[in-house]
Amino acid sequence: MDMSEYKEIFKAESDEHLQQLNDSLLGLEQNPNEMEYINTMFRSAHTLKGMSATMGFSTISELTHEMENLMDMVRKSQVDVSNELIDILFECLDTLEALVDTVDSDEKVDISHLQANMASAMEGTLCTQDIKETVDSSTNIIKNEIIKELPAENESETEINVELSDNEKRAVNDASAEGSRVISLKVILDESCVLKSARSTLVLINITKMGEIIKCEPSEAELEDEKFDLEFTVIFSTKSTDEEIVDTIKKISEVKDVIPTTVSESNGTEKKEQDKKEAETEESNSTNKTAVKRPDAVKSIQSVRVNIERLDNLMNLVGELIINKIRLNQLASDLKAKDLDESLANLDRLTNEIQTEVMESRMVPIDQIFSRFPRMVRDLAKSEGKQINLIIEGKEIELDRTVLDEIGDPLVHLLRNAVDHGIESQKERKELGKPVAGLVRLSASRQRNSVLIEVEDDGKGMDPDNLRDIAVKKGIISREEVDKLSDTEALNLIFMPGFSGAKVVTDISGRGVGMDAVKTKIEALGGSVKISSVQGQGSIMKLQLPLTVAIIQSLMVTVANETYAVPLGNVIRDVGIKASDIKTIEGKEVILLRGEVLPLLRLHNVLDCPTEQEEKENLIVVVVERMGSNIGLVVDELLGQQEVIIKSLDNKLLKNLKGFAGATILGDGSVALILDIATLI
Amino acid sequence: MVKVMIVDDAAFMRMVIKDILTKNGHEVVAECVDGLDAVNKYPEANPELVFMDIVMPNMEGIDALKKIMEMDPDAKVVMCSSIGQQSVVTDALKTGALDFIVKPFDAAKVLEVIGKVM
Repeated sequence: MDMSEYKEIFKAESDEHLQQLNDSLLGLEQNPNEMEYINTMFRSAHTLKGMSATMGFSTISELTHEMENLMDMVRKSQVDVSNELIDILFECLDTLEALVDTVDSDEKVDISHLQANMASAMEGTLCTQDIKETVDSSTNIIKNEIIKELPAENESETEINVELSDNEKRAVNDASAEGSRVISLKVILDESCVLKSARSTLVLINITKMGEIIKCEPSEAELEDEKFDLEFTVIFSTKSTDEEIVDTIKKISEVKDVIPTTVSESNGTEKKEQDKKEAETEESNSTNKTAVKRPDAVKSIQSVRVNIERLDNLMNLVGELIINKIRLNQLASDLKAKDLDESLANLDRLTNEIQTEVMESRMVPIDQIFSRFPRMVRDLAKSEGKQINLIIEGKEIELDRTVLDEIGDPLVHLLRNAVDHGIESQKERKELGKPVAGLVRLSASRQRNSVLIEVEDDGKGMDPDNLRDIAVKKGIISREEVDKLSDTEALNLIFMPGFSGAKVVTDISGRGVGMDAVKTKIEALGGSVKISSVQGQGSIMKLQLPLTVAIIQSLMVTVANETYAVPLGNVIRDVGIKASDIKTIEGKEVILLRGEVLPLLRLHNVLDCPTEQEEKENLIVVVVERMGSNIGLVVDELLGQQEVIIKSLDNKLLKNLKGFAGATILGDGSVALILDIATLI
Repeated sequence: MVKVMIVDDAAFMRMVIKDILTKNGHEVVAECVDGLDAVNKYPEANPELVFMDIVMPNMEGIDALKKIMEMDPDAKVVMCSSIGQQSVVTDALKTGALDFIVKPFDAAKVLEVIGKVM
């Protein structure tokens, strides 16, 4: 059977189970006696085993099989939940995750040390020997390496060599008296038969339908414990013919052969046999009752899995649709075609609705990435000997899939920094009179057209002077310049390229690992990063993210008769200024605006499009936010606010072009560039 | 053509079984995510045959089997088991399950079982 078409769903579902395992294990670490976690882990491991075996991923099924065994023993209180056990299981999960990730490759992963660790965890029990045996044998079955001694050919032809007790002899005689025959049936199972005990039960059940069982060799109990090779013999009384019996039993799967022999013996009574049966049914009833019942109601999920590419295409098409709608609007107003107004208004409404729906369908709960952080923070804290309470809020908040894919790494950076460098050591915290356990809060909340993610810690905070010193030492900025920076601006120094990554940073101030990378990534998504910190009290990182990346609100401006889009997320306001108010400080143009010095950038110069117009007295300035401070962009004309569809510039030639986030098509069919304020020089 | 109800908490397993069945001319009349779902859907789906997983959240396969056998003593149920569940399968057979298949299974096994029990 070709299983490759199931790979995708296998991976998706495995990931869900891995997450569930991870969550439960974290929970178990906190509450080692919570059965629900143990049960969930057992089930997940079990399900993974079945799925991976079906796919033919033997390493995964071996590993999950042993995890399942281990969890089963934990469930039965044969193994204690110790720290070592938790660590072993975490290691197993990591390996499983890697295995699931790399099912496509031929890479072999060695799991022998995990198996050894799990085996020794299981050995720390009373019934060491037994358990070890079952584990070993079942592993072998999975590996398909078990070598069974096949019954010798001549053996299957043997006559009955089953000894009957007096009672059983009586039963045989009674049967004959009632007109039944007594036959001995030798049943031989297929070598490929996996659950021999269950198969033998099925055979016995079918025999019971035709007659009365007098004796089994091996006994029924032994059959159930799988204490037999491939064959067993049943002696029973029946009124059916040999042919009927052989037909019925041979119909059962995995039965290789059935050999009937007629028996004639002396005395017997059925009483004992009946008692035994009653006892048995009682027993099976009682075991059935012990099965766990969970009465939780189940919601059936009304959803389908859709490939993300489909959604991307859909989004693109919606983009095209909007562009055409804008064009149509413009034509209608150019032609002054009043008759079109109503249908255009309808078209407007419909495209808006489609756009909203498509955007919504691309939204996924942020929990998809948040859920992996408790584990990460736990591991980090453990390795550094710190105690950390991680509080996660707003995990139900939804974000565009593309945005979500991109913010995982930045958030890892921020959380790592908070734990690594923000939170002080236990000793320090005690001395400072802070609670020993540090607090890290990760929260998401929905703003109007964006999502705000905050990473907050109650650690040592950042010292602006310290940051100034480091920046100067690293040659990022001159001493003169750095002294002019406000404290807030000084905090933003950590986002400068080259600031971070060095050990000095870690040792002295604590922060700065890859912060420029974080900033770049978030801004590439059309978002922004803000930082605030109080020395001794902690820091907060605020990431503002757009709900979607494909369509953004922009302020349209013209410079030298070309239209440009400025993402509205960057825009603070627009103001009119007089050319005569512009002052020059150290060769750079600035203007005093509401008591603040605003550096000016003339887009003509930046974009290198010489203007033919005379220097005007009245200038239009768009104030945008960059690197935590404001700058003013001098433009020719404001065209107004508009939704633009981003067409990325990520081909070879244009990829490294600084200053542009992409291009868009305007209503009249012309192309406008979208400015990227962060990289605009 | 046999009308089949599939009970398995793993969507992956449901998909594999369903494809085997539908590609061989059988009809899947219901898919259930756990035992409770199966018990709820059984009367309306009225399948001729049920493929029942054993380890599931909310209600395990063996309990669902019992409930279904109570509702319909003639119900035909085949257990889908993994290695290491001898005792549960044995109990299920005693309760009235007609047969079982062991994961990993292939199309031939599934079809063979249908041939044997129907």
